[in-house]
Parts: sequence; structure tokens; C-alpha cells
Amino acid sequence: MALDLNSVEFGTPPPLPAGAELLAVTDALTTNHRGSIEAERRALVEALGPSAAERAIGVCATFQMMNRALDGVGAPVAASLRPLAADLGFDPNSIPR
Amino acid sequence: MFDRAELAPSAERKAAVEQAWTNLTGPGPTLTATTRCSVIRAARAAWAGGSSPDAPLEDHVAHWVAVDAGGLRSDHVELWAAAGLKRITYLEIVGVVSRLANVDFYLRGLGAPVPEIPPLPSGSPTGDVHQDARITDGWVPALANLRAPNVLDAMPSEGVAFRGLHEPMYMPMDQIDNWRFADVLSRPQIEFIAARVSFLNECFY
Repeated sequence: MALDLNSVEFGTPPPLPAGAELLAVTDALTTNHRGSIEAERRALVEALGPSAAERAIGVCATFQMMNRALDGVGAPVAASLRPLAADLGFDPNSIPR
Repeated sequence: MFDRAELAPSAERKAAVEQAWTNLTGPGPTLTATTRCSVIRAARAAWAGGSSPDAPLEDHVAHWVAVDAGGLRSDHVELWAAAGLKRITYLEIVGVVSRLANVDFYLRGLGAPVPEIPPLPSGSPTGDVHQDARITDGWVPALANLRAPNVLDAMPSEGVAFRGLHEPMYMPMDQIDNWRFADVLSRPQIEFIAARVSFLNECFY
């Protein structure tokens, strides 16, 4: 499985089915804590259907949990993910903890 | 809870969120139900743009876990410990705010209002803390090195509650290494969402 890291880092639509709509819902839900995401949700439902849109929102929501939990407990970057860190251009040892 | 949702939840995720909300607003291993509900209010106020409350300390901590968990450092946790916050209680606050994020962001994503806190939460701490828990490779008591999704297992009931959201929202744990896993989304679609959220939250785990 390959991920387009440019899409992850720079927010360009990934080369996936409904990539632009997935990106828009993910960004809106993660960065806009107060406003409505109605437009982004509606576009995702139109692109993927209601079941897949609901599923995508669930993934987005659970990583809000995972991120806060892992950062909150001071979990180090797992050894298995160090090659990915290198691909993303950072050294896990340099992260202030 | 979902009556006004613009997008219907799956039966599995609906049940998981309802169970999570009942758990979050009840007593926890070291916190009363009243304090857990205060932590929930503090986290929601933080997401609404409020400034950090100076007191009580539990609410102050909840604010920062809610809005800037990636900016937390061991120095913060040590400072809070010096002010009287036990590490295990800090871990419980992290668990409450994290699971609340899953519940509230999911509901908001579906276009549903977040649930209201019970007017008179009641219940004393359960004391459900594993006696073998100790500091391992992070800042909090644990049973082993901290790995997702076992970070709350120093408090067994909280660990179960964490996985009770994680699996229905992400994927069954026995499928984690199956890179061809797919349901209504493909694994690349799932992992793109996960990676983008983590990037935006500056979570490099």
C-alpha cells in the first residue's frame, strides 16, 4: 500500500476515489472546531454515498482520540515507523518531549 | 443522541458512542463523576475557543490535552505532578478528553449536536487501577511500553472503553496488518484520513 505523502503534508487531493472530498471533510473536522462542516459532508456523501461518508467521519473522529492519547501519554515513535519518519523528513529523536 | 443527525450512524458506531458517553459521564478509576464531567466541560470550552482555566488543575490539564496535546512535554506533566496531580489521574484525564474527542467530533461530523452533561452526575472513584502499573517509555503508568491502543491499560476499564471506540471507528485489531483490508472504504482511503488528521494535529507517533 502506498500513501501520497505530499497530500498528507501539503493538503493536495490524494489520488484516491473521492480524494478531494475526503481531504475536505478531514481538514474541516480537524481544524474548524466551531463552524459547520455541512458543505464538506454533503460533497462527500455525493461522491461516496452515505455509508462510506459516515465511515470516513468515524475514522477522522477516532484519530482525534488516538492523537491526543498518544501525545498525552508521551508515547515515543515506534521503531517500526522510523523509516516513515525519515520519508516525512524528520528524526523522531529530535521531537521535543 | 443521534435524533438530529444529518447523516445516520452505523449501528455498531452508534452503540459504541452511546456506551462511551455513559462511561465518560460516570465515575472513573480515580475521579468522581462530577470531576469527569467538569473535565468534559473544560475540553469543550477549549474547543469553543475559551482560554485555559487556572483552576481546578484537572480542568486546566483537560484544556491543554484538548487543544494542544502535541505541544505537551514531560516538563508540563512533572509540573502538574508537583502541584499534586497524580500520574494515574493525569492519565485518566488524557483518556477522558481523548474519548470525548472521538464522541464529539463524530457527532459533529454527522451534523448532530453533542450530548448534554447530566445535571447531577454522581459516583465515587472506582479504584480500578492495575497494581503492576509503572512508568515505562512514556510519562504515565502502564503495563508495558506504550503502544496504541493500549495506552490506558493501567486502568483496565478505561483500556476497554478506549478500544470500544477504536475498533468500530478504525478497524478490527486482527485486521491491522492486513493492508488489503477494505469495507465501504479502502485501506488507502482509511490510512489517508488517519495520516492527514495526525499531521494536522502534529502527532508523530
